[in-house]
Amino acid sequence: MARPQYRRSAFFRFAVALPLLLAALSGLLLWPIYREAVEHIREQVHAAIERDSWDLEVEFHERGIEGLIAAIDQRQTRQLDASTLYLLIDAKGEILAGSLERWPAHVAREDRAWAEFITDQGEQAEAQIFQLFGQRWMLVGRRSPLASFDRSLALQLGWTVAAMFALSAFAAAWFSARLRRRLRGLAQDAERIRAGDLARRLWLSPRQDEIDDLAERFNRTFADLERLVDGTRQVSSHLAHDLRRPLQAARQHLEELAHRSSLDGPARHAIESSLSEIDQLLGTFAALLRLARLQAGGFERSSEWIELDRVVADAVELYTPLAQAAGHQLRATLLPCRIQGDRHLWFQLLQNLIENALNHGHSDIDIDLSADGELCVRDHGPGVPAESLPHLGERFYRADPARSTPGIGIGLALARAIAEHHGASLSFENAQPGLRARVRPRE
Amino acid sequence: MRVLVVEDDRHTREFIERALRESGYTVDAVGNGRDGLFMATTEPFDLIVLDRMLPTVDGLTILRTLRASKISTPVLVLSALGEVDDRVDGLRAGGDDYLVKPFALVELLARVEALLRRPRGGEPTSESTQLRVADLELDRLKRTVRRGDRRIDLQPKEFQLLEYLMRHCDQVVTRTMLLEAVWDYHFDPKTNVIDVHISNLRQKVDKDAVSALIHTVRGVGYRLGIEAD
Repeated sequence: MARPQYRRSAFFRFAVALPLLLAALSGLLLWPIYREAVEHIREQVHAAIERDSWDLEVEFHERGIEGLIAAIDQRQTRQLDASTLYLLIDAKGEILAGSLERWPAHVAREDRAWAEFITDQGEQAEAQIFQLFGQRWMLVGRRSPLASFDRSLALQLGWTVAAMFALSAFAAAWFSARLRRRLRGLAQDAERIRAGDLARRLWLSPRQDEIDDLAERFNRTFADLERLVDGTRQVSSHLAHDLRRPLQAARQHLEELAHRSSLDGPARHAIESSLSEIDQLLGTFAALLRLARLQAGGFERSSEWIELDRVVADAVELYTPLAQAAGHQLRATLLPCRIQGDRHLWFQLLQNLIENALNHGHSDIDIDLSADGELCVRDHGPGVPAESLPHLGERFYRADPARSTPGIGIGLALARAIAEHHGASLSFENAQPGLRARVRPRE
Repeated sequence: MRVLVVEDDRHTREFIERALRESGYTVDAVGNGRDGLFMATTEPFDLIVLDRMLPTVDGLTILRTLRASKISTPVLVLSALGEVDDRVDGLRAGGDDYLVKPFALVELLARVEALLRRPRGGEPTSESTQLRVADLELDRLKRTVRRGDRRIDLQPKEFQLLEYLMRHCDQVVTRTMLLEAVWDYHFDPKTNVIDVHISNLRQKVDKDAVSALIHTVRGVGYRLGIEAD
């Protein structure tokens, strides 16, 4: 898994591409210089040969063939220049003088022609050919320094390129490792923000570089987002809080009226149903406020150890008669599970999930608790459309478009907030048939 | 029966005062913590209804001061803070019951009555192991229930429900009181979840009996007793 991820990384590609690019670039720059140097060296060699051959020609004209042979021999014994090559042959091809043991192959006998050849020792050589009087041929040459120049140049270039490659690969790897680390940190921050820690911001380095600049822009966006989310949360909790008082007063008036008066029949009935409606509204407000408080982190996370299976069993016991009255079964498979948390909040979560299953599933309900704290509440009802699944548990969201079922979409939101308060997640899936709510501890 | 009401919101205070008077109690009502503490420590009351958040002296401070001065008058704490930790704070400070605002009048009256009828000086330990209402007998040790000659088999929660109802015989008991006492979880049941339990219990207890013992009090809760309303 690490390999493809490694290859996918832009920094990995950068670390490979940069030295390659540098090597190509330096090759492109060095090539003409190399050509120039080779040309220059060749000219030097030719000039030296021409000078030499001129002297030898003078010698030949002044002192004849013996003088030439002597001059060649003398040059070779003096060894002034170790790179010189001479060969003088007569019409029959017999060697009269010179260091070469035979006329080199592939070298045409053509007066004043230039030739390149390889000596018997394997050295590259350049030479000029001269035809002398009496069908004699003379070769004046030099061992070419180009081969050794090429070799040493290639060696040097090779080392330079290798060093450059290594250096830039190292630099690229170092930079990309640093960048990767930094980006990973930013990604983690962003993930935490996404997970609901809206107050978190991306980490800024003291360098204030481009990444910091970008991160700061993101941070400003996150701040706006937090303000907006807070705003909407506050609107509903303010509403709930502020409307509670007048509702409470209205409730008191009605209750006094019902308590005191000798009203009977329809009037009394009207008061009682008004009271129960107000109670429902007050209950909703209380749930909203509780939700707001949970989301705002207003509850301290309880460190008390509770037996979650016990709490689930209690909830099952509480709801079993209700389910049975509707002709359904409540089946529980519970493994012992101890967690840290608030048993009242967990009970509330179970209550909300079970009531949701009862109200929407109209079927038997299976409740499973695993030893590692994964809790599933599953009904066998119609389930919900797949596109609604991710929205279940959002405040005020209702999968039922006609809104014909009771409720305002607060129960599951509360359940999710309670799960998240305990470091767990709440998700929903279609169980074919039915809906399964899954509470899973994170990590 | 003399009741002291300490509540700063005038509207709520008068509402409680009127309701308690109409139910036959003698009521003193004050609107701040200092007066409340003074009254509670100087005059004898049978019950104190104490708001938690008060000007001058805070409700929980009054409660702690009373308990520290060995005044064991039952106290019903009223609060707009309904979360469990708030409730635990209130009860730990020496409160005998905790009621979250907004509350229904009948809920308040039921709890006031329950507190006033509670035997002073301690909870269940001093009670006898046998409870009896008419021909209904409940043995808390043997965990058996009989109605006349008939033995009644009950589920554990049904047994606890019946026990609570019998201990509060002839009192109105609300659904929330039952939930808190029997299930020991604080939450607001939205459905008729308690009613089904009671209905099951009633099936077993009042089945074939000449007179019903478990009565529904409309809009409030239940009452166990010989006489119907």
